Amino acid sequence: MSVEFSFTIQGDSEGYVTFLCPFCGSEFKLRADEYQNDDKPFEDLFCPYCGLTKSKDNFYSKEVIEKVETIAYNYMVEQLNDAFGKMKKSFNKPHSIIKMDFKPLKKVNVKELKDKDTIETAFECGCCNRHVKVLYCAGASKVFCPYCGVDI
Amino acid sequence: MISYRELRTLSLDFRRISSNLLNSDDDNADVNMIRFKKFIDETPFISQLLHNAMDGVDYDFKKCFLIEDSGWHSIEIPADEKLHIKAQYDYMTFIVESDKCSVTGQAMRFPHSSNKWADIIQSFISNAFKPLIDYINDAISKEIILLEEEQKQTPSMVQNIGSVYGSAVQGTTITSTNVTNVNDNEKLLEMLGQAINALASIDAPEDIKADLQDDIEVVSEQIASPTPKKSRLNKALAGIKKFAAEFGMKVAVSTAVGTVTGFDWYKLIQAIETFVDKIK
Repeated sequence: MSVEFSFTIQGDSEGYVTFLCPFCGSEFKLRADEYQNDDKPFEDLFCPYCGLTKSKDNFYSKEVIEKVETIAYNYMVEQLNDAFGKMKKSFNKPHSIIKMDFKPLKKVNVKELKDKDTIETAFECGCCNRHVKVLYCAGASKVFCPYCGVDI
Repeated sequence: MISYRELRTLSLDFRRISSNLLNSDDDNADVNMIRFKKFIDETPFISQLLHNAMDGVDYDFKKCFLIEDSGWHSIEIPADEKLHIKAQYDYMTFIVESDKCSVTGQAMRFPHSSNKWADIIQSFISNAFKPLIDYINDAISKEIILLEEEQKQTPSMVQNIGSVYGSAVQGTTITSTNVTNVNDNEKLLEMLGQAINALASIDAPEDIKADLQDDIEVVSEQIASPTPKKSRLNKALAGIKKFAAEFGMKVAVSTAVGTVTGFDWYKLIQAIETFVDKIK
């Protein structure tokens, strides 16, 4: 059995959402409309800082992963409370010799994800014309396109 | 010397092959490491980079990678980066060339917390070889940055002496780009030769014509020289400009005489100026 959850992340004022490189741990931002564009599908992302590449599922930020875990935890709590609630009802019938009590587990508050405007610089890839926001120091670092991997 | 374009391609290729190694699982870890090792050995830029770092360094990789204990293996990173680079390279060579060693086998001997093969292998490769990958990756990026800086400093290249390409915006400004191939020094020398021939047809005092000829010859010498001197060129150029300014009308007349004697002094001045601008 598989259960699907969906949630939204609010981007910054320009529609950029934060991602995290699994190799170097650096954060960068991608435009939500480009990331979700079904006309230009992609499997892997390149880190704009170190340029290494991995499946795009590995680039979610800590906040996103926390939120996913929280939603999954709450679903588990809901299922357990429901199952034990039914069990309690069946045990605690009148004249039953066995009584059951249980304390329902509490759900955890799910935070809304919202990206703030930060000081990163936006770049457009000359190859695929998609955008990335990174902390950039001119002449001291290279920026790689997260989608096609070329240096910008 | 590697070109900017080749370096950009190399960067992408290296990052792809490194990522493949770092993302290895038990099915492909050995193949990915062999491919990575082959790539760094057979790519002249990377091979030279590693040779520069490792040549003359005498260090046993087993001092960095403690792999001879019967218990868990461990890593003791040396403070000197060159020793670390050599240790990583030698350890990789050891794994690739040994018949008894595999990446998975080595990974299992290092402490790990996950129970998934892929996680254990990826953690091992990252801990053992990521600094080598970062070192090469950074060196490629630095070289790209340097080449970009050089390209910014070089004035725009020119083609074809005698051709002037320009664009004009009506009513506002006129932008003109004089496109002269200063790389083609032979053409410039040829132009200077034509200038000397054209001198005879100019109605100007002989001493002034002699001075101009001297200036043209100085320019020719400097262009032919492997180390042209900017100061000498500027001095001679100033003489040619002075001549063109004072005898502009006569020069214009000589140009109008016909194609045999006609010579465009202003194009010559522009071509020399472009050549001078290129000298550092």
